[in-house]
Amino acid sequence: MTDTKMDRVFAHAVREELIHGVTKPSRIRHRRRWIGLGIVVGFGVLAGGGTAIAASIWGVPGTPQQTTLIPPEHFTETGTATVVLSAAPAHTNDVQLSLVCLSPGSFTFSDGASVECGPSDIGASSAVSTYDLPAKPGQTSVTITASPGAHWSLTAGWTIKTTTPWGTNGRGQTYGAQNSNGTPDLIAAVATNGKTGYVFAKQLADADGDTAAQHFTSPAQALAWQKVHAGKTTVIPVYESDGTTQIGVFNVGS
Amino acid sequence: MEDGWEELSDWSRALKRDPRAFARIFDRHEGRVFRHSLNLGASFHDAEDVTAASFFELWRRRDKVRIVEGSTLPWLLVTATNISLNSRRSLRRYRTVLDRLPRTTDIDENVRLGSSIDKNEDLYRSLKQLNPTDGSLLVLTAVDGVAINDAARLLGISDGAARVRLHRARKRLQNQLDRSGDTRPHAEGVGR
Repeated sequence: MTDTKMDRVFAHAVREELIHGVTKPSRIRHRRRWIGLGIVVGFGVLAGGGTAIAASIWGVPGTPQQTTLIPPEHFTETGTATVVLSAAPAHTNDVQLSLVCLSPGSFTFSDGASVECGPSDIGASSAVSTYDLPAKPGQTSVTITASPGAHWSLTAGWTIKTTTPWGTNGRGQTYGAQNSNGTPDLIAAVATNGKTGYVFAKQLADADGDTAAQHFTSPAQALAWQKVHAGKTTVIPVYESDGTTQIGVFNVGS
Repeated sequence: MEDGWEELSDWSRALKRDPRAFARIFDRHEGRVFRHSLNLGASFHDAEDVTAASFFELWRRRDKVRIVEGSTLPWLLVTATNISLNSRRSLRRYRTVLDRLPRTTDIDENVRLGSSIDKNEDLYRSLKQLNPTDGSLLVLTAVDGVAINDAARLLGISDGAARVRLHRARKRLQNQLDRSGDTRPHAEGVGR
């Protein structure tokens, strides 16, 4: 019994799926919270996932990029429905979706991600949810499972999704977003002044306790560290990708 | 749960979307969760699905996960129990991805079953008759060796309520197992 293990091929695949889940954009139900965080706090470290909006504007190395192959198609439906898309062009690996709630209800994508719309969402920007799903071989349609009578519209388009490589500056330091490949030397961040740049991963780890955590041997040490740093804000510089030209600061622990 | 601090550190990193940290949590607990699922009477294949779904749930519900003694393991075990005892509905969310994941195809299912534990079908059937909280409480304490107060904290009930529930659940389970004629050692352990 002690040696009984899962099929290692399956276990490895589950592990990969989990890693993919950690790095892919937040599920829709979290998206509003991420956006809200950006507005209220005004800064944040950019990971490979969850920052598609910032990435598409700014083009952070190491983030997912999508290329639209054909014009997206539009559908309007009520309740659960399957919409049939035009044939997928070659090399398509992703389908980009934008769902608009036209009446209150629950709307679920094929992978289980879901969004709830209340009366106050209808007609507001919060009624719009963008999402993307890996395209399956031979896929021709998209199904939305919706509350009975719930009215919705969907814009869907085939895309090719790739993760751009990190950049390397003149000093040989990598820069970009954290992603499934790990952490670059300089992590993309938005400074308190709104400028986008990079913080050194090591400085960030020192400031948020990750470095100290490597040496803790007991919860008591962790609690002591937390007590010493409680309520304190550590300010670290934000640089351009060269790692030397400072353009702002990033607050950790506020 | 002896490496609680290391896991707390990994959990903290995972919440910041560090994929390697989350993978380490999987590496640390996948065997235990899988064997727990087998103990509940699942087939080899089902136990794999339950284990995978438990970790998918760990990520999906990460904002609500309760850490006990510095570990996600008790939460995973409770989740695996709930999924196991209510598998059809709970696994539906992940059916597409589970069916897509590759498996070794040259291992005969009978070989798998032969290499795993004896089937606790009576125990499984009896557990399904219990209230989910009672079932989780019983499995956590009797099968997984989690202390009652830790199990109580995990399930959001008081120590006193946990002891009363556990006592009643053991009696109910033992009665059901007696009726089904099960006299195997695992049943005695649960029914004590």
